[in-house]
Amino acid sequence: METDFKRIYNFIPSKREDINYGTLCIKGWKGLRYVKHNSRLKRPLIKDEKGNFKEADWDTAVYTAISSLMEILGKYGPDSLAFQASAKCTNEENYLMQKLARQVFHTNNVDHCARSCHASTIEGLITSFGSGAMTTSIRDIDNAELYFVIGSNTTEQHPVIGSRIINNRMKGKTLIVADPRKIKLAEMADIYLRHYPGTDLALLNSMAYVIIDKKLYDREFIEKRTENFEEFSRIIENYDPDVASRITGVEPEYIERAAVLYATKKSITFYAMGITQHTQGTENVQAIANLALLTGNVGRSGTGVAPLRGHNNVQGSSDMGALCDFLPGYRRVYDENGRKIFEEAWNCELPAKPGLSLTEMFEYALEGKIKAMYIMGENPVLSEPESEKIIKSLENLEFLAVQDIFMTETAEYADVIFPSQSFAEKLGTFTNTERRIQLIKPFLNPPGEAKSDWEIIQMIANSAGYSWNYNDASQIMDEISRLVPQYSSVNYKCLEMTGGLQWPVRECHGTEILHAERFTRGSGRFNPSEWKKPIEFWDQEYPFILTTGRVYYQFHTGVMTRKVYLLEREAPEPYVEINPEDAKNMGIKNNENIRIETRHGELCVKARITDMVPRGILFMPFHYIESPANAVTNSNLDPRAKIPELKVTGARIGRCQ
Amino acid sequence: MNTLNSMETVIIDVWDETPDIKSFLVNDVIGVLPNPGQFYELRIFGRGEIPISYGNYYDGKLLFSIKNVGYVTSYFHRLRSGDKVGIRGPYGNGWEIHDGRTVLIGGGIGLPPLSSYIERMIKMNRKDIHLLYGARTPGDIVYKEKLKKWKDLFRVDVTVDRGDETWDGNVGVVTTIFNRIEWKDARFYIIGPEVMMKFAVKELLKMGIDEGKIYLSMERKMKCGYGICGHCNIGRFYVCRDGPVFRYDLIKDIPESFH
Amino acid sequence: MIYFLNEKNLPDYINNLLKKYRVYGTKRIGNDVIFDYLDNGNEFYDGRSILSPKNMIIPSWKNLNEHDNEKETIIFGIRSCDLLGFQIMESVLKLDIEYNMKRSLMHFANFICSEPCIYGFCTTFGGPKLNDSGAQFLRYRDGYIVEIRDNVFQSNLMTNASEEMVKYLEGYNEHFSELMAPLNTEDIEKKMSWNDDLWNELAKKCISCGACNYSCPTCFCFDINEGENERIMEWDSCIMEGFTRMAGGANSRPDLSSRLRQRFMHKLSYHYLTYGIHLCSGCGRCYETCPVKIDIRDVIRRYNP
Ligand SMILES: Cc1cc2nc3c(=O)[nH]c(=O)nc-3n(C[C@H](O)[C@H](O)[C@H](O)COP(=O)(O)OP(=O)(O)OC[C@H]3O[C@@H](n4cnc5c(N)ncnc54)[C@H](O)[C@@H]3O)c2cc1C
Ligand code: SF4
Ligand code: SF4
Ligand code: FES
Repeated sequence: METDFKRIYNFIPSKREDINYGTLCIKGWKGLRYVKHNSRLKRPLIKDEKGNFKEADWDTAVYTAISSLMEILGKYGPDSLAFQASAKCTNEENYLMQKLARQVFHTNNVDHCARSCHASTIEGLITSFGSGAMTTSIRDIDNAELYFVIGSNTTEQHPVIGSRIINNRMKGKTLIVADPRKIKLAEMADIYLRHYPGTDLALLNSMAYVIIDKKLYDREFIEKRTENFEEFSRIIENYDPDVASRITGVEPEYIERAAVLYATKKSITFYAMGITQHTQGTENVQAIANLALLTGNVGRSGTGVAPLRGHNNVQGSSDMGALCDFLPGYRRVYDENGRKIFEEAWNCELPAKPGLSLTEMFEYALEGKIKAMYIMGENPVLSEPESEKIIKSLENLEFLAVQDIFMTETAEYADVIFPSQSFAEKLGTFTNTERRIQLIKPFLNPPGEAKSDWEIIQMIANSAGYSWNYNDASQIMDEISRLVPQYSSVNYKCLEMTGGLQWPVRECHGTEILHAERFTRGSGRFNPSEWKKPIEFWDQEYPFILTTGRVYYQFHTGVMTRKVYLLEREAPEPYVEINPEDAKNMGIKNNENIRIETRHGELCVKARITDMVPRGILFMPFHYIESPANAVTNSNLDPRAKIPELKVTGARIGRCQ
Repeated sequence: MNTLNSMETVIIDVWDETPDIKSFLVNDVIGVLPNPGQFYELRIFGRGEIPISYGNYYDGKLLFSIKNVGYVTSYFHRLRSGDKVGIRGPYGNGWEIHDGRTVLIGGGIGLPPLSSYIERMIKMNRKDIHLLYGARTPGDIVYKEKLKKWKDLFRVDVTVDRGDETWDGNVGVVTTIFNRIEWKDARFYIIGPEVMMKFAVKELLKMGIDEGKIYLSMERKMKCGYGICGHCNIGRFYVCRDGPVFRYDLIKDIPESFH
Repeated sequence: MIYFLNEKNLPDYINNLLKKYRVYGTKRIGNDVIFDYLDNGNEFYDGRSILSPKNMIIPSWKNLNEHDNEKETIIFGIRSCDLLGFQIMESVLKLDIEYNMKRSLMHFANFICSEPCIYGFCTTFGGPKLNDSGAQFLRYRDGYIVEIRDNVFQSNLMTNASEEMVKYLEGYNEHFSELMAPLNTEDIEKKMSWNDDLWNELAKKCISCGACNYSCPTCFCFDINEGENERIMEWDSCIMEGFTRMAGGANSRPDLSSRLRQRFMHKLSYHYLTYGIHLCSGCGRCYETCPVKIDIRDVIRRYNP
């Protein structure tokens, strides 16, 4: 007890200036307590015939898992298996997870939650710049003159970056915010564009129109470093601010002023799930990249495009190829040369067909085409849209294995549960939003027999007859550094010495600003697209648009933070935000229970009347088992990045009994 | 009892007062005679702790009445006699026993703390009190038996916001029966929801009552109960320690005292 | 009594203390100075810790159902602002039985800063030399002048201080005030105003992270919550909306501006009116850790320019 108490106290903000000025957000101060919570899993659990979980030793549990997996592999073939990696786990663990799927089980059916957050970022930025990551660094934010924040409630979800923007705004720099919800940054913005949900592309295209129309673009940059400008300007012609205004609901002169400012200053664009979680998510991201290319706002200090990642390691788990269509280092699975590198290293043949995305995995499970699933550190029952469907598909599986630190809503459906270690108990690396690879070290003893996720995966692989032979996480990193170009030459010694490096790394030196001399893909490509009306929008039957998002005090699905009393207190119950006018018209009182009905489901939830949301729009956070907003959201996929559209769902309001 | 550690005691009896208020009789294991209007921190082990005023103290037993409004209170409503609870206290100042007459004004679940005062006065054979009590509906009136008994001893006026067929008394919020107040020189002890207290004070001031004669029992979120956790701080006071009873003129300038 | 301890002897001096007591002292991890239990005298590092060791009396997080055996502990290397924090909090906490027990087992070895820190303004509330700590260490030439009031700290490794040293120690606050000009807090408890637009201005920036509360050596507010087999006591923050929210949703401080007002008025006005002492030791940590750089000094200056 004493050592624990003594050491947890060491969890204090560090003075690392380049990351966070020595500050942590409330989640840093309080959220970390979860690792010490009583209900941590301590021994492996196996479900018996009656459906009760019984404790087991590791050998038995691993044996149970591998024999079921092997049986299913034999009976139905590799593509009947699906693996879910996790952005809460380290790079090494995600790397091994996809290696397990690909090498041991010969399937590309491995994916993780970046799918529902940032797959369109990867797709969009790779096709535009060649690299799916933040182009600049957190420190470099201070060098910009203008901040364009679209679809990101930055102060709540990324307080470290949000507060940098606030401080710079206070110093007199320019802030433009585009968001249907009047978020905190909107109140201090120079220009606040309140566009309708699902109209981002029209807004961004129209800004490009203004910039071209007023000849504010960077001609030299376009000529020397980009391609496809002609086609781009042709498509953009359709988006003069008057047209865009009718689509987006934003006054034309606001669009104009925002565009002029963006083009004439050193600007960084920040975006998050408000941009990516749409059927046109990839196009949205490309449109942001287009603006940057058009004005030369990329590749220099104080400029850039910054996708903001939610979880600790969304960037790293994507880098590690825990994605159904990418191998580690963003080599596409259908690219033969890329595959060959890994086939040689792993001494096996790799499937060329992209695997199933997260959402598809569950759909296939529902149809009975996926028979077994292996989930590491995730709680899809809460985090994926249409939770009832998820539950049904989990019930439909012949076998489910879960690795987690707590008994989650998802683990309830498992046949075998492996207790894993939280990051406070293990060694490994994370890669944050600015591509910085950081070493984390254990400072607590793991509870009971919990093992780190990579150890568990290695046990599974070896019981399948492989002889993986990693003694510790650093040896996994050594393999990664050989195979993943962005991570080449990365080792624990140099991470420790430098305190973290931004990839791509060369001989223990990081890269602060991407695309400085040339774009990763050679030249920057304009990828223009037409705005399409979201599949669901306002209509007679469903006169509201329901949009979802995170609230500050909770992590993604709440598995972690619901155990922490103070965080729970700060966001104690689910609610839906509704505009005062709408509430008045419908006779809804504050805190009254109302029924939200969509084409996908319905639920009762407390109304919170606030002008944070404009008329006709409802906002609901998605965190709670009592009333998961995802039970009612829409899972239409972005056809390219396969992100579900969580941001725009048609809805109407009814009464609760 | 200035400690966070509670003592264990047993519930002797539980009964329903109204659909959402239950009364609990517990053994006093602390052995300190509380002042009227003081409160205890009651705890359900593994669930939480809440401040509750006591309604009566006799024979080494304490009476508590708890309204089901949230997490811990809902667990209280599941308890039965014989169950164990934690207790610490008594805390706060409570109603001062003074020589003059007292007008007691209470709303809803505010009656128990007034009851502790009334019962003490009865024990002292004093009848110079006048009780005005308001409840939402006739079904929400607590301590019906006691009210009947008290009616024989001193003046009691009861009103409900909404009547029903069984109700032949006054209908209207408690301020509508203020015209029955005859003692302008008395002390006024008020407890109830904050809006009710706000309007009661306004009305009393209109009637020419001196600010220094009005006493309010304030409610704030509490955790420790004796002035160290900081939750109940308003201005320079801690409601748990310096209150919950405050003389109106001392807190009226703290804008936060009414919100 | 006033002594002198040569720097060379400091590790041994600490090792001698370790024979009888637990020593919770400052040490260095990377670039950070933190408090931790010391295993030997060489681990000690003379520096200002990132956080005050206030968790020794108000745990940042603790299961009250688990009892740890309290031992006599020396807090070694505490800076004056943090020590003053303990003394200020004592005005409130002395009501508590457990606090008094813990406190009676604690001894403080206070290291006076040899130069002003970047963010501090401790001279405003007295200055670095305090008048009642167990032992005060002041850097002097190749060692420390040590003023001892608590016999625990006596040691034959020290020699008597020279007259010159005594003079240096006594004049130290004056000398320090020249390097760090004190702010004027005269009558601030009366001057602060409820309806000041300042609170709205601050609320625009503040992102409710709570860092100011957690890092403050005088913020004592804590919360208690219970679950199965656990009763957790942890630091609370008045910047959070739930701090005052009651059952049913009523909240006396529903908006951020009223909560920021509470923080600053509690520190600079309310506490003074009740206890005659400001709830601030001038350590500057709230400014240092605040991500949007809300500065308590600006609040003081607003009322006393
Ligand atoms: C001096 C005083 C005397 C009281 N006397 C009575 C009484 O005799 N009968 C009665 O039914 N109620 C009384 N209350 C109110 C009662 O304390 C709250 O209804 C109760 O704390 C709500 O707890 P909960 O867990 O059900 O609510 P939740 O909303 O779940 O609250 C969680 C926690 O917050 C704190 N909290 C929340 N609301 C309040 C509140 N209103 N006051 C204090 N702390 C709160 C408690 O620690 C509680 O456990 C009194 C309150 C005070 C301050
Ligand atoms: S209020 Fe700020 S300066 Fe004052 S003691 Fe607290 S942290 Fe230090
Ligand atoms: S540290 Fe700053 S941003 Fe955080 S709560 Fe305090 S004042 Fe607000
Ligand atoms: S309840 Fe803790 S200070 Fe009043």
